Amino acid sequence: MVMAVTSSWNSRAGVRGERHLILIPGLLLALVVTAAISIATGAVAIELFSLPGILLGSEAATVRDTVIVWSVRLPRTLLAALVGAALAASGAVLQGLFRNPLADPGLVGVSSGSVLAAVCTIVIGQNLFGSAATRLLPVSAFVGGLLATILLYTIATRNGRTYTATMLLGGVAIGAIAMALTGVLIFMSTEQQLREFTFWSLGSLAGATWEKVASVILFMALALLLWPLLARGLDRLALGESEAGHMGVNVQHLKRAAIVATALLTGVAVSVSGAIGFIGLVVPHLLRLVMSPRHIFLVPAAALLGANLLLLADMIARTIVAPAELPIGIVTACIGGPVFLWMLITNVRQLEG
Amino acid sequence: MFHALDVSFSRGKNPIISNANLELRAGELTVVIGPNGAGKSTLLKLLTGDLTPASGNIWFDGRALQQWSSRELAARRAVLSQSTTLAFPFTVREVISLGFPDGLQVRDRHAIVAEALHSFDLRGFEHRLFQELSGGEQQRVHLARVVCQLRSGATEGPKCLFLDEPVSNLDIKHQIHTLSAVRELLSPRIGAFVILHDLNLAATFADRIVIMRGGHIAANDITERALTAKILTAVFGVRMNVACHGEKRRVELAEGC
Repeated sequence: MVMAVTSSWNSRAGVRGERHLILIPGLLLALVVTAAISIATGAVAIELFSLPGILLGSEAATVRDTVIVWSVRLPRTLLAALVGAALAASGAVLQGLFRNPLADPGLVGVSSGSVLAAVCTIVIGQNLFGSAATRLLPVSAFVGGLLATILLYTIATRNGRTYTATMLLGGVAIGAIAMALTGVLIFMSTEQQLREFTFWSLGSLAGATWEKVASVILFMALALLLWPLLARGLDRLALGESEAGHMGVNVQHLKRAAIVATALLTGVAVSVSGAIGFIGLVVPHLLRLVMSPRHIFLVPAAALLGANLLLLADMIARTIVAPAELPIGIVTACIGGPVFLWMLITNVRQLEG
Repeated sequence: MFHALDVSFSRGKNPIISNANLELRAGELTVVIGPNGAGKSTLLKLLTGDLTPASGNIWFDGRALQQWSSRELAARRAVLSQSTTLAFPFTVREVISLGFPDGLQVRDRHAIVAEALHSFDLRGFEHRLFQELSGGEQQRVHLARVVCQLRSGATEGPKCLFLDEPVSNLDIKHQIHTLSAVRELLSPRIGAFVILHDLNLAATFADRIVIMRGGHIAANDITERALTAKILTAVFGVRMNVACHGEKRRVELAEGC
């Protein structure tokens, strides 16, 4: 069905370049609705229409509902939306950098690098700084993601050309090394630390706090500062490094900015929610099927769709086996895995090239 | 405007270009011909700054090439490479617009794109997906892109168009259309440097011909003087005659080949 929808959209290619005008506001509207449903859903059901009152502090709201919304549901909903947005946006930028729709922070080892650095911080950092180490998590996850991205780019790109097979295999290798080192740390860790690791390896939004929400917003704002450097440059990079250079792009600056932006977004997402896969892969790819791949529209649209999807996945994760909770990484992998296979099959020609 | 002084370049131990001296002039269409592996593309890449010479210097408009930033150069010269792949599904109009400088007025963009679509026989293609076009159509889109980049670039100073085998995938009609469009672009401020394989296209459209062999510039002169049976036969290793029709030259295979 997706294919049928896609082809009927493509046949009206005349409006394809302008579709972001409908898609972006539509996704924004959908996000508001999804977020409201997410806040209302849970062990204690809250009436949808009482939400505005609770959020605006009206006197009609019960204390119980106000506490649930403000200290549990709202931070979790915001965190899910922000993490989804960060992952999808970082996927879109990473794909632009590698000129390849199969790049994803989870698949190519960037997330594993972040996880390793985060786990390092917990195990080694706690001995050095005590509980303050937790606050360093976003920064260390960023550094880990940054190192993994730089390493991968060095391996996979030669003479301005990124080789898909090298990129995917290099990513597998980096992921394996990072996982092995993470395993060593787990072996050395205490009972308490061990419990925290499950969270990292499968991904979870449980334990959302306002502090985590604030750290994601801060890192996303930092990544946003790099945005003017990136949008048109990544479009031009789609033709290759030397063509982008001929069109006036400072390719070295562009690549550095893209790597830092990806690492900021992936790092902070990993630091608050562990490794959640496939959002960064699937979202930009689906969008490119229906709208212009120009990054100035693609990245914001990806952020919005990523936010929507991760909110939905989180609702599934916390309701499907209630009162227990499924790690959200399992939900995104169940949906994203098959989509990735489908992309591999339809991209066979490019992979062999 | 472009000067190459004693430029050499090698890959590993193999010299690709040896002591090349060349001047490109605004207002002229310079065509480079030569057998495979003669160093034509390498010379083009040296002049566009893609490669850095091992020795010798390249000057553009009185300044050493490496002192130009990529943004400054992009306003003054546009480059069509031999093979270009596109990673994402852009439309034809989007590909053509990639070369525009940031902050160009929308109205100017539309006017320049419309003219390029006309010059390269691409009307009606602008909303098609680039990846779904044939090889020749894609080549014409890239030509339109580099021409738009050059036209929307700097309003002062000399400018140059570099084309590496721009007509290799085109049918005869579009070969002629394309090279005519390039000629129409020439002005006292704009020159072009074009690599071609077809000697008669070179003879028809070039003001000046550079003949390369084995990394050396074997000849560099106005078309009427550069195209001689003797040098063509020596360079290409096939016996050829050059017929004169007034100013024009026509290259033919010699009998017995």
